[in-house]
Amino acid sequence: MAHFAKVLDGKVINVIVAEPEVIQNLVDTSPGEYIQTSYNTRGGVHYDPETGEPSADQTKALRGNYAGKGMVYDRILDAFYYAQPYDSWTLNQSTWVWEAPVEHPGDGNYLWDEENQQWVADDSQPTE
Amino acid sequence: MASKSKTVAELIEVDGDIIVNALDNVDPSFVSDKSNSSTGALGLPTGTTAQRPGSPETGYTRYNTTVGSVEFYNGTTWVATNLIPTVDSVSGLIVETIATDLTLSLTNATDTVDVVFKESGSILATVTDVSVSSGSATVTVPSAVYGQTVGDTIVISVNNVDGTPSSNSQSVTVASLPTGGTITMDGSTIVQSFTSTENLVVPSDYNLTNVHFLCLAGGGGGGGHSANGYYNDGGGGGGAGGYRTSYGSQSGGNSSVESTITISSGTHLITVGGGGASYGDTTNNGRGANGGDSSIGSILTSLGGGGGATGAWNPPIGKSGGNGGSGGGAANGLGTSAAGGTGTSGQGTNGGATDTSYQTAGGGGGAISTGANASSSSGSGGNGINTEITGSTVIRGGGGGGGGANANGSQTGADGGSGGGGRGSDSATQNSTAGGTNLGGGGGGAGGSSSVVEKIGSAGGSGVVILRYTI
Repeated sequence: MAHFAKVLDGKVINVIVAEPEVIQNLVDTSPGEYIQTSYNTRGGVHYDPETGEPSADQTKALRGNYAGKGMVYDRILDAFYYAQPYDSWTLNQSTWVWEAPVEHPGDGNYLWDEENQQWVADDSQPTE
Repeated sequence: MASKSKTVAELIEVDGDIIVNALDNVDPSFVSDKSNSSTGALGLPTGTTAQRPGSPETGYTRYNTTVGSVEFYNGTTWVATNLIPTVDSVSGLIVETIATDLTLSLTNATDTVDVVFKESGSILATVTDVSVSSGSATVTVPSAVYGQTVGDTIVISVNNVDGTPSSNSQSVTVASLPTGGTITMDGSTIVQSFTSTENLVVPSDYNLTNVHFLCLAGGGGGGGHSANGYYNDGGGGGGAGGYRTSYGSQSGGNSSVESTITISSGTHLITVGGGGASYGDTTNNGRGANGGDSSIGSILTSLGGGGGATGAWNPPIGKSGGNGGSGGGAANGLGTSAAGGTGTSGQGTNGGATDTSYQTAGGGGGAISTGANASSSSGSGGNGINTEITGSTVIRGGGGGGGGANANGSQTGADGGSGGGGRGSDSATQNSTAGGTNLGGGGGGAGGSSSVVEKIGSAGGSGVVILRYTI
C-alpha cells in the first residue's frame, strides 16, 4: 500500500494510504495536491520493513523522509523535511536533516545559541 | 295463453342435432327451475377481458381468463366473484448481488400470496406463501432476480391463495451496489470496508440511510531519540488514531456512540489516514509525527494520533506527547515533568505523563483507556475498543508503549495497548514495533541509549473506515 502526503502551500497537511492508480481519480474538492511518500524512507535511506536495516535496493528511497503532518515539501528538491530550526542551519541534502554551522560537541546537553553561533552547555540536567 | 308445446320433430333434426331457434320462446321455468343432479360441471362462456360482450345484459355471466375469475354484469359493470388482488405499490430496491427486502402494498389480497417476478414476460422466480398483514407483504428478493443485470426491469405481481392473479403489476429496476472499498455481507447487512483512500459512489437510485460507521485515523509515531543531548531517556509511545463510531456500545474517549449517518447518492471521498512517522534527527529531536486523519466525505473526520515525545534533552517542540485523536506519551522526565499529549473528546484519550524521578517514558493514549504514566518503568499504551462492526470481533485503536530507559528506570520497553499498539523498544536489545496496519495503533517509542546516537521508534499504523448498512 502506498502513502501520499496532502500538500498545501509547501506544507504537509495530511498523510494517507492509497493505491497509486486511484489517486488521480479521487474526488477531493479541498485545496492541495497529493505527493507520494515512502513509509520506509528516513534520512534519505530506504529501510527494509522486515528487518529494519537499510535496503539493498536504495532506488526505493523516495523524497528524503516519510512525510509527516507539519513537514515541508520542497518542490525544487523534491523532498520532505522539517522546517528550518534556525536561520544559520543548512539542509544536508543527503540525510535531509538540518545541520548547525558548528559541529555538535558530543556527549552532554547543549543548546544552540543562534545569536553567538555556538553550542552552549546546559548542566541543569544529567548528561548521561 | 298460447301453447308452447312442440313436437320432437320441431326440436331435433334427423341427425340428432337441435334445430336452430327451436328452443326460442321456451318457458324459462323449463330450464331454470329444475334440479340438476349431474356431478359434472356447467360450462360457461370463457374469454379474456377484451372478449367480453359488447352490449351485455344484466346478469350475463362468464369466466374471465384475464383476471382468473367468474364474473357477471350488474347492469353497469362486470363484477368478479373472486377477490382480485392489486399491487398498489412496491417499496425497497432490487440491488445486484444482494438479497434485499421489498414491501408490497396490496388490496384484496388473501392472507398469503405468491409473489411473481418476471422479466420480459418470463417468470424469473415465484416466492410462495408470503404472509400479508394489513395489506402489506414483505418478500426477500430471490437470487434469480437480484442476479439480473443492473438496469433490467423486473415486473412484480401477486397471486392470491386461490390462484387469482393481481389485476396489475409494478416494475422495479435492478440497481447497482455502492462502489469503493471491499464489500462483504453480515447476514443481510452490507459491510463496506476502506483500508485505503478511495471514492465511495452511491448510485443515483437511492441514498444510504441509517449507516453505521467506524472512522479510525492513523496512529501517531513513537518518540525517537536524538543525538542532541540526554540519551538515556526512552521515547514516548504514539497515540492511537481518533476513533469515532456509531456501532456497538462505546466510541473513542469513553464516549457514547454517535448517531448513524445518511450518505446521499453521489461520490464521496473516503480518506484513510496513514500512520505517523518516527524520527531520530536533530531537527525535530525525534518526536513522532501525528498520524494522518481519516474522514467520510464532508460528514465527519477523525484526527490522527499524537506522536510520542522524544527522549532527547530539551527538544525544541517540547517533552510532551503530541495532541491528536489520542495523545502521544511524554518523555524525558528526570528532574522535569511532562504531560502526555491530549486526546480529542469523543475520539481518544490522553497519553501518559513522565515521572521526575526516572528517565522512562509514557504510553500513548488508546481509544478507550489512557496511556500509562511512566514510573520506574515506562508506561504501556492505552487499550483500544472491541467492535463487531464487520461481523467479527476486532480490537482497534491501541496506544504505543513507551521505550525503556537506559538509566534511572527499567530498560524494558512497555507493551502497546490492545488493538494494534506497538511495543516500546528496550534500551539496548529489542527494537520497537509499529502500530497495527488498519488498526490505528500508535507506534512504540525508542529506547534510551548508552551513548550519543540517533534512534527512532516505530511508525504508527494506518487507519480504516468501515460502513455498515442495509439497502
